[in-house]
Amino acid sequence: MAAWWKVLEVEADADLRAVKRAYAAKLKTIRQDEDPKGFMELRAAYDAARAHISYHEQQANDVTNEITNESVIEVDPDWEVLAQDAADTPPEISYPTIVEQLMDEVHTLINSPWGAGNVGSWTAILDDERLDDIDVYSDFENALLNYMLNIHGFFDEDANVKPKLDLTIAHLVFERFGWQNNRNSVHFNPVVYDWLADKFFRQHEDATYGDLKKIDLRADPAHANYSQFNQRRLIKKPSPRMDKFLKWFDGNGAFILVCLMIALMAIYYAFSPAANKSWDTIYRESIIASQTENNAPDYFGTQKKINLGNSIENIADLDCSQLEAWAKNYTMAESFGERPLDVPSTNEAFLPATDPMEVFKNMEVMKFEDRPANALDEALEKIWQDIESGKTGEVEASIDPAGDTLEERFKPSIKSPTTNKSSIQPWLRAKCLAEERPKYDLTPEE
Amino acid sequence: MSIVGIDLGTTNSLISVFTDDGPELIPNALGDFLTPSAVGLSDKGHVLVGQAAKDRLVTHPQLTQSRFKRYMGTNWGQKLGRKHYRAEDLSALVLASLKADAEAYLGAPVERAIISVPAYFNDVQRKATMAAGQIAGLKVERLINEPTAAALAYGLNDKDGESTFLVVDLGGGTFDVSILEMFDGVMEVRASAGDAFLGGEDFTDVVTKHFAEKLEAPLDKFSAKKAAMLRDLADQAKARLSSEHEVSFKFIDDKSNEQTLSLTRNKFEQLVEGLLKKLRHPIQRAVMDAGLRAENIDQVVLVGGATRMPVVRSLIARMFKTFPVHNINPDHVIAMGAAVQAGLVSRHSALDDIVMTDVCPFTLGTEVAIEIARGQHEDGHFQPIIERNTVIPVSRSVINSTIRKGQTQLNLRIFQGEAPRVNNNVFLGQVNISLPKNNKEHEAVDIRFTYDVSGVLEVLVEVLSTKKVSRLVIEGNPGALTKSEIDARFKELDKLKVHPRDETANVAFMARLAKAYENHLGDVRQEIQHMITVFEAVLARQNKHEITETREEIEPHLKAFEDRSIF
Repeated sequence: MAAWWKVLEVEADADLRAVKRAYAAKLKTIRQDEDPKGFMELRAAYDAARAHISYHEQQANDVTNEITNESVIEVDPDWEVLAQDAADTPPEISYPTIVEQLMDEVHTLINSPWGAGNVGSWTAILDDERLDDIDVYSDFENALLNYMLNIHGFFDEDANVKPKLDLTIAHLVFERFGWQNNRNSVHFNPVVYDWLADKFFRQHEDATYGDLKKIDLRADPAHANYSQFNQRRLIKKPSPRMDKFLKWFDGNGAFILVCLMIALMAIYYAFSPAANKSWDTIYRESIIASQTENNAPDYFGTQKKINLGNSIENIADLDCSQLEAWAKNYTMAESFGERPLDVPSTNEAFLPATDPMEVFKNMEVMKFEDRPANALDEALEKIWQDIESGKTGEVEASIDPAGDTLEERFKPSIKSPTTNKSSIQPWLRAKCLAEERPKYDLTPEE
Repeated sequence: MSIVGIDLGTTNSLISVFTDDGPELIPNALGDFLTPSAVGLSDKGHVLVGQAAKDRLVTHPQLTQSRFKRYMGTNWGQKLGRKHYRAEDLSALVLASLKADAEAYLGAPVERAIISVPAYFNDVQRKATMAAGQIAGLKVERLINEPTAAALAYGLNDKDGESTFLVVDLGGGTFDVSILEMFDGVMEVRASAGDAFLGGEDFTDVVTKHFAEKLEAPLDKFSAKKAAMLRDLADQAKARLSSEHEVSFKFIDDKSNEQTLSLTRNKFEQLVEGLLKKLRHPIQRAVMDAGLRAENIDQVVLVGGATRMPVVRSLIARMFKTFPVHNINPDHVIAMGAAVQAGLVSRHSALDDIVMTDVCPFTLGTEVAIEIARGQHEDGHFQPIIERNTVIPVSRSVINSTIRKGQTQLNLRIFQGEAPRVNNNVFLGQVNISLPKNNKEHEAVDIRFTYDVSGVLEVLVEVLSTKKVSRLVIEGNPGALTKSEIDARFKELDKLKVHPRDETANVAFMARLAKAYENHLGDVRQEIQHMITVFEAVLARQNKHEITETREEIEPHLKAFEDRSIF
């Protein structure tokens, strides 16, 4: 094909105005319906010319910007006057500011414990009337997309971040911006959308985007934008040897795993001191030991972590009955020493031979006479604060049979990836206080 | 012989012609420019088109059809009387009626036409529209996208200027957005987006549903007549709310109780909030596709009757921080633009220095399988060939090869859409291509997509080794009609008895009387009954002059009654 300036019959350094004029003049001599070929050639030339000109404009702009930036730093003739002027005129709200504000809201929401699934708050942001303006909307959409890619580790090949939005919210966002349908636009990069859709919807095998889960995103076929984008994400085909191994493993993997486990158990049984005693003996020993001396044999691990299996990411989901159930578990653990919480205490096989009443007799009954009336409220308030300030995660309890007091022995905590562990002990304690029954301190009698 | 421009709308249709004085609308037999896109059968079994049919929707819902544009290119069909009609047939009847109007007005036979279609109509729907034209006995010279037509109508006012403008076209059933750039007499569509299933009728549906809720009866429990009547009233209420803040009307329910229903503008705005949200997306998409900011858009033009709604106008004003333009009647502007296009195609001398280029609003491509691992292929992937918003006419090609060596058949499936997997896109058709047996290497084919100025797709497949070219006749799409089917339908519809054109006014008036009768009770009903008797008696005497006189005499009284039921 001939060069564009030859087709358009202009100079190679013609400006946009000249190119447009030339194109318009030529176009009027061509019938699009009768000479589609001629038209397509002209059109291709025009497109090439525009691309060429806008590229050069862009470069020129970059240079100008650099110069302006430098001049600002070097020369500031009436700096104070300028500053005074700036202070006098009320700052105009510019689009970036609005978008920044909105993005701040998004950021706060996503980092709040219930932000991932809060339809109300998300709808409020997406329906914000500041987004009515098309420019704000486009900027916000771009900012949000970039933000999502960022926090989900798109730019970091090794990161494997869990989706930070619930399925409902992900749907809401995708549908609001029509991200599933933007693939073939010049201003959108399909790989980005597919990557994000994959992140949000793959694990759910979601019906709407279910198809996406199967797509090998890196092998987007023959797409126009494909080559421009992120080549390092292209598929790496496994080497033939690896491929062979994987196929073999597919067939035999389960068998190998079982063999390995049996072998490991055999080794443990042969060498572990505990393995030669009966479970009953071990359990009884550990309980008695813990009640009598501090350096008890540690068959169960002194710092035994018990996952309560509850996540309080969604504080709204917590109801009182659940809190109560936990509190009961704690008191139960308290009564019977460091029993694993998930073992029902009535299970005889695991009960110590000692009559529970015997154990009780050895305990000092502690009554909390002087508890404040609103202790529960206070404690709950604190929990709320903790959770609101972003200390969230899985509730976990650690048990230390050697501890002297209840607090030492039993430490529930919120495990959080973002903040320090924060104890929810006061709350539990308050919960116990609130219950109208005696509490037992496990401190052995001197 | 001139080419006519036709706006074949969901709710109303218009016909126009380009004269030396510019585009001109042609009135129908009732003297209106707008012919309702409604088709029905009269009591004698004659075909009725337009206002009469629209009014008979209320009195004879079983014998009348409207809003069929939405079903173009689908297998949808409806029985009227004993015959089964597809959307193409019904549209053809509307087109034939418009054609008759134009012939009466121009005093010459009309055979060639430009028909406007929503920019977002897909290939199947476009072909269906062309088929409807053919069934109506018209040679469809070209299809034109509705927003583009609107832009042509506006652009003529300012053909030397240089500007970028955005057309928001909210019609009865479809929604389109186009961004156009004008310079040196070139009108160039930069981007188009839309929703083929969103329009003024949806707003009416929402209001109808709201009223049904107010009457505490689910809509499907209404008799067909009452449902049609309620919808008719809801439509009028919606239209009135554009100029008034509250509207009330009387409705006679199934048990013949007179109920008063009212609706305020605020409530209406609440009801349509969801629809407004659907409006903003295509607009945003078109603006972003064209890579523009609000400041680059010089004008926002409103087109389509539904843009009369203040809610829509204020939404657009909020989005662009500017007041939209609607100098030309939004109901007329597309037909005017279609006439301009007709002028362009027939090379009218007044349009020598105007050229228009349009784009293909969606991506077209084929299904491909991709290799996901050695020797493992997964099919169902979409391979775009013509990207959306490419200037048309355009021709693009790709080379694909067979999955296996020695493969002798290739099944090529054509899709349209933006989704990465074909089953989320619109299936357009398929073709089977025979390949020479070649066990040594993968056979390769060159697939060429050509999208013409009417937005109709042609696919050529060339087997590279044999140079054998096959032209894709898109088949296997259940919605599309084949050439022979079109011919058969043309012959069939030609045999239908269409109600004589010179009686249209009388039939329409009678339908209007009958509708008013249904809408009233008591004394008023008695009086309308009296009008009907009088008019029937006059009709029986067949004195044209007397008929017209009586009609004109009764009309103001009838109008007074009609106005009384809605206030």
